[in-house]
Amino acid sequence: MKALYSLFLVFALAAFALLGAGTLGMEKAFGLYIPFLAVAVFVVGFCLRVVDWGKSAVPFCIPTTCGQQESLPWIKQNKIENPSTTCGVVIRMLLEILTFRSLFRNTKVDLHAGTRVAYSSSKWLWLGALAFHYAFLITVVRHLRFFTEPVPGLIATLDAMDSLLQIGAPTLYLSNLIFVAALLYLFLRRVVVPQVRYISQVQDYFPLFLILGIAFSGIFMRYFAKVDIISVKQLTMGLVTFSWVIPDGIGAMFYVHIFLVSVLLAYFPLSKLMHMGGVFLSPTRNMNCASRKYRHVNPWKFENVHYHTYEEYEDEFREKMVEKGLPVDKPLAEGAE
Amino acid sequence: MDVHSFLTDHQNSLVAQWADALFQTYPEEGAKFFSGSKNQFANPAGHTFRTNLDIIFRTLASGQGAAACTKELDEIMRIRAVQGFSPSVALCFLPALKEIVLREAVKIFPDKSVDELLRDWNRTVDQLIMLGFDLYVNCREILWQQKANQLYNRTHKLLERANLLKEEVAG
Amino acid sequence: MSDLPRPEALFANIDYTPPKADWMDVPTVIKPGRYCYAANPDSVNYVGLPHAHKWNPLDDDWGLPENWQEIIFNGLRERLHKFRSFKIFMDICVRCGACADKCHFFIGSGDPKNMPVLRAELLRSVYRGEFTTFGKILGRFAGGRKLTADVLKEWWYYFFQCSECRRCSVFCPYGIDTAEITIIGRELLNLIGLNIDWIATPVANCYRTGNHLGIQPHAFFDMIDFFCDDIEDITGIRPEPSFNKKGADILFITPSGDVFADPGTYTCMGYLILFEYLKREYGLDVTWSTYASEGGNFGFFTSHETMKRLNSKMYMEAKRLGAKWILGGECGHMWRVIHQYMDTLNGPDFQGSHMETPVNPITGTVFKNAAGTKMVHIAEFTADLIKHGKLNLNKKRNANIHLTWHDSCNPARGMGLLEEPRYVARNVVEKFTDMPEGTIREQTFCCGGGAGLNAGENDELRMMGGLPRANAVKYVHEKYGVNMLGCVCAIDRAVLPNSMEYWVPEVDVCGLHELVGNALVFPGEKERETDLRGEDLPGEDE
Repeated sequence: MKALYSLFLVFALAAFALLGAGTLGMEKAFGLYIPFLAVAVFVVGFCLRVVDWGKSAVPFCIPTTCGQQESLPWIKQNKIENPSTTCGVVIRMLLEILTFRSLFRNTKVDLHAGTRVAYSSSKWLWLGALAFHYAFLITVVRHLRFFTEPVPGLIATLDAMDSLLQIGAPTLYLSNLIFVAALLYLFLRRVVVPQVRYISQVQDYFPLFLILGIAFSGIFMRYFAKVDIISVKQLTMGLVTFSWVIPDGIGAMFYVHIFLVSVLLAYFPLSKLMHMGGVFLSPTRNMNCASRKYRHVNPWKFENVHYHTYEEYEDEFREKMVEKGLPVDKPLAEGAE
Repeated sequence: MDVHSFLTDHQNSLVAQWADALFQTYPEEGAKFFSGSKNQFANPAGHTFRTNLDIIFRTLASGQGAAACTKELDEIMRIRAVQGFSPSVALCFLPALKEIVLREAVKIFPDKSVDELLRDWNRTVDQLIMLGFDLYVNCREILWQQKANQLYNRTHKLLERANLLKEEVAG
Repeated sequence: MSDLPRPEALFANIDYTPPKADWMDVPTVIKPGRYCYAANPDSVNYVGLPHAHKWNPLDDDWGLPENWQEIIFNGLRERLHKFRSFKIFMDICVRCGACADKCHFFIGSGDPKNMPVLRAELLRSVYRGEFTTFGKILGRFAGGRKLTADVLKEWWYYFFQCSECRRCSVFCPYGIDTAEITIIGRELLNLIGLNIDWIATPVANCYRTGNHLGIQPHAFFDMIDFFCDDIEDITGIRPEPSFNKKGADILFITPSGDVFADPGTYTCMGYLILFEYLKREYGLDVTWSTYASEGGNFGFFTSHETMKRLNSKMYMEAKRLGAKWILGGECGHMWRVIHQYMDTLNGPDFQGSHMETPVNPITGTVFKNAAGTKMVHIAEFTADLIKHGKLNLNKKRNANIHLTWHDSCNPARGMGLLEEPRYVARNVVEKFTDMPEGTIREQTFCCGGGAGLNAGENDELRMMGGLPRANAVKYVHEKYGVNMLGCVCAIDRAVLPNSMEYWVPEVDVCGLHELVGNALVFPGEKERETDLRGEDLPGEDE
């Protein structure tokens, strides 16, 4: 049901773009103003969120330690999973961000009855997530060719590598295949696995469908509608150089594509997609684990805290302590007064 | 075809239905989790249920009495006894085995008197139910015993601390 | 088939709400056996925690203050600002489900609200519904909901079904730690007086007498003295521990569970034997304190502030006695607090300037890893002694034991104490086998009773939660003949014996230093006939 809502919403958005840019001829709004506004919302919103998080304090050093601590010199420390140096923390974060280390932990060997060894299916989540994110990254970087003139060598190389298969004209991008496959996997997983379906919200399905919509509209333009790339580039270059133009001959599908991207950008800072920024700030991962070695300072203070001092304790129990020969600070007679 | 070969031939489907009857007593997400992962350590409850139901069925189908699967049934009962079920729900998968076999048997032996055919089988399952009852109660008794011990130890320690239990009490 | 009733339903009145319902629509039914009794108001009052009152979780009316919603909202707002962890964990969960099947309570019970992600969503949904723009406008559509009395009860029920073991946070791609969410959730509940007695009363006791059972100093002394009698009977050597001794080099603090409950008591005897040995052989000067006689910190399960108040005693006592550093006994959450909170909480206020980076006076080893907090774990200390050959150990005395190792959650995931206890264990027992991968070290399973859930009344919850751990023990028991489960946590030693008795009756539970105490040979000591439990030693000639 939640998935259907989201699907419907994405269709409605696409239809809105078709109607607006196609039928009503509001190319300018959909091609220039909305994308520009969306980028602004994204940049400002993203920064605001990160600053907002930054304003919250980190009172305690609470990393999750996932390996042997630094202790005696002859005990081998796990310097990455339980780092005690900044370098270790940086490597831990890099592994987390670039290879999804924690999700990979899901992979484990199953010991079935007998000696048969099998790998549990949970590594699929890691694979699916990794494939999705990297395909997305490659796609975004590839798109930079629309916003640069001349196209930097790096982007061109990436483009060439991505079309390594040399199938069809224009050549098929590998990342397109992986991207769509990973997205479909992530979606199916949400619907099929009962635990995950149970916890899923509308805002879990919505970005999936939205990104799928973006992917399909893009693929349609490239392989089927064969949009006039030159005019598209004219428009996109105009966007970044602030010399806004709407060239002729750009199909309505382009406006759907760019509108959905705009929606994604604007939606980003308001949603769970902010995990992109949040993962860098997670205190259970980005802190030095040697918290007994270095004092972490809490920026705020507890106010009006009451303690139970030794004096109060001894005053209450002095008699019994003396009886057992336990040393006391004040002799009995004095305390009894 | 006799009852014995009916049971062995349809073993897989019967055990699967039986396991289903057990999993159906949990809310859906829990049921799917228990019946899903086959990892012995990540899903101990599901693993125990599935493996042991299979063994129990084989044992009973081979003509051995219910007592031969005490260990397997005990392992299942230990889990069922602490999952907050009322006793009847905790045990309901046992009589369900009769129903499951009956439903299949009616299809296989349309022209025979199934009740007659299954009389021995039903008796064995009845034994299994009784055994299950014993094991279930035993589990609950362990829990109550632990509670009782805890209370006893607490009072005993208190008395001891208050020096009310000197040697002379014991004589 | 479909028109027939399901076979299992024929025999029992199973009536589950159709599972198609969204979790927000499934009402929470508070079941006996899964919850702990409400706190005694006297205990809550004693430590001055807010809104002490008498209430019963099974009643409709929980006696909440008029403005309870306002209190919760203000508390929530304040904590979002004070804890970046909390704020980020509220915002970035993508509900990927990686944590869903990692919680021992979910694995054992199958109750979907025990999935870590959903436990967090209980609070997150209110955060979304009441604090975010999206949620305020779109409500349920944006996954938000309002804070009602039913929601509050659901919080209470499930935040006290989390043992803050952090296993889920190991698997989360963003390191979201349900323990952190549970801690804040419990702090919020504490603001309106919804504490449980098994936490509140120990807190009051620790505050007043120094230990969780409220044992007064003379009785504490008696208990230790009693152990010394036993040790004398068994070994012929009588330890002479010192108490509250000014000028001692080292202050020793252990969870008071070791002093009062079997089998922790045997671990306590192990400490006494070790210290006596080190005193006689090398002149080690260790003192016990009756004032700071609790290592465990029940305040941690109540609020950060309560944790600080109870923890402060350790530094205050070290300062008063002039101890150079503090040695800590075998305890779980005590070590999470020491390793990750203590220096931050109380270091600036109470750490004496005379305290030094801990040095083992016998081996000369400098514990650089404890340079700031100045507290050393006894497993680190003993491992160092063994490595330097300072202990005369006879493994044969433990020859009847085939040990496996339960990594206690907090030392494993909030510290990383994995190899030290294994090194010690391998040096005092002959047979040692680890449980399968995925159930030990950083992926270790909780005993089921951590974070204040070891009350008598929630036994079913504990048994369900203990299943994954017990299951792994059962495996090594059946396959390799393991008969002893070792651990470095007082809660483990209280919870696991019952759990083992239920799931794997052939396996017993012990602390690390019980085994050390058994194996340690004093020069010229008499031939021991029994171990510390008074059971016959295995024949040496076998």
